Amino acid sequence: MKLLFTNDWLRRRLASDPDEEPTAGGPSDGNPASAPAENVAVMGERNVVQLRIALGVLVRQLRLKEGLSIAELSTRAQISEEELRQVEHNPSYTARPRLIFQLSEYFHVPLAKLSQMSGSTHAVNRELYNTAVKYAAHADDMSTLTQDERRALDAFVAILAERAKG
Amino acid sequence: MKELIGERVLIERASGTEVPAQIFRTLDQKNFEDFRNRWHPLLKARRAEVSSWESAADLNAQDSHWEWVEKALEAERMMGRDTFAVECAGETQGLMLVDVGFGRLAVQRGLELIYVELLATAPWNRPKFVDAPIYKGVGRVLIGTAISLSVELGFNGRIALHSLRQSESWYRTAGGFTDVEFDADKRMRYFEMTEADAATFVSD
Repeated sequence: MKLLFTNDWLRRRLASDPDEEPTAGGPSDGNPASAPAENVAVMGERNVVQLRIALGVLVRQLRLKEGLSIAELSTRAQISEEELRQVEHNPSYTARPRLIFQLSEYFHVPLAKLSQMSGSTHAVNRELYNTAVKYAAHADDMSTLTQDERRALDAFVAILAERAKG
Repeated sequence: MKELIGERVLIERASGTEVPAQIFRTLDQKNFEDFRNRWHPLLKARRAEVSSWESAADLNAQDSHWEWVEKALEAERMMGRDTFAVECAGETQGLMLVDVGFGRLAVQRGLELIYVELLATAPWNRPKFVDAPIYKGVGRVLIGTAISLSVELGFNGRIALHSLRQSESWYRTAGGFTDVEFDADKRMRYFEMTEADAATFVSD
């Protein structure tokens, strides 16, 4: 990694900088009173795979609900077709943050929840984990959504949205 | 594994002289011990002087509960996370933890950036925390490092952070950040640096 600033630059800037040293960071780290007592668990490899299976099911069902092919969704959400295919079908695949963000924006599903399901965060809400695994277990890998699946999908998305608010 | 990424100067405030400082990527046991044995006792003692977290801002001690050791060890296991340290005179003078995030400003909404999750300078370098702070420039060096990482990762210098109250004016003026909004969830102001801001920050 190359540092993009020189000592000459530092000398000039420090000569005019105010008499302060900047600090950054969220209050949940510094203020115990505001830290949410979230029901989180640290995930093992097996848990990550289960969550990614649930993510794949969720993305596939949301896509089917809109009647879109993989190619159509990748165009509309501005993501790679291959990456989307991997997310839907390969639980060993680590989705890039950008892809998760685009899916979150396109389907209006909270980013934090999708990130947890993608296995990119180490700690995951236990309730989310249990709900997601249960949801995925009841889904079939069909090219169309049954009425039951549609109901389960809507309920799961509502839970994700509700948790994001709370 | 800890890696030396460069050497830059800090200013010793009392004498006005320059001193060499080393910038490292990935914290090691030495940084952990400095935090535990040197930083933390001072932060804890100062924090105990005031009753609320809000008023700890007046003493520059709002970060007294940050668990750098745990955070750094956790970061090693997580994709996208990275830690940095500035050392000088054999001691840890500053620490930074970063993650990958996404822009909120209209010009870079949804684009990847480096999110500075935690950034702090050693207690003895902080105005208001001590009467005679020792070194100046640790924060600027760390922000410059975050921009350098952003460029290396292809994010073109974009970075973001939530500022503690006492640092807001630094980010607005000296730092050249854009003050995006008050983040109600975190109860802090959220700042972003655009590609253009970053180019200005490191320009001569």
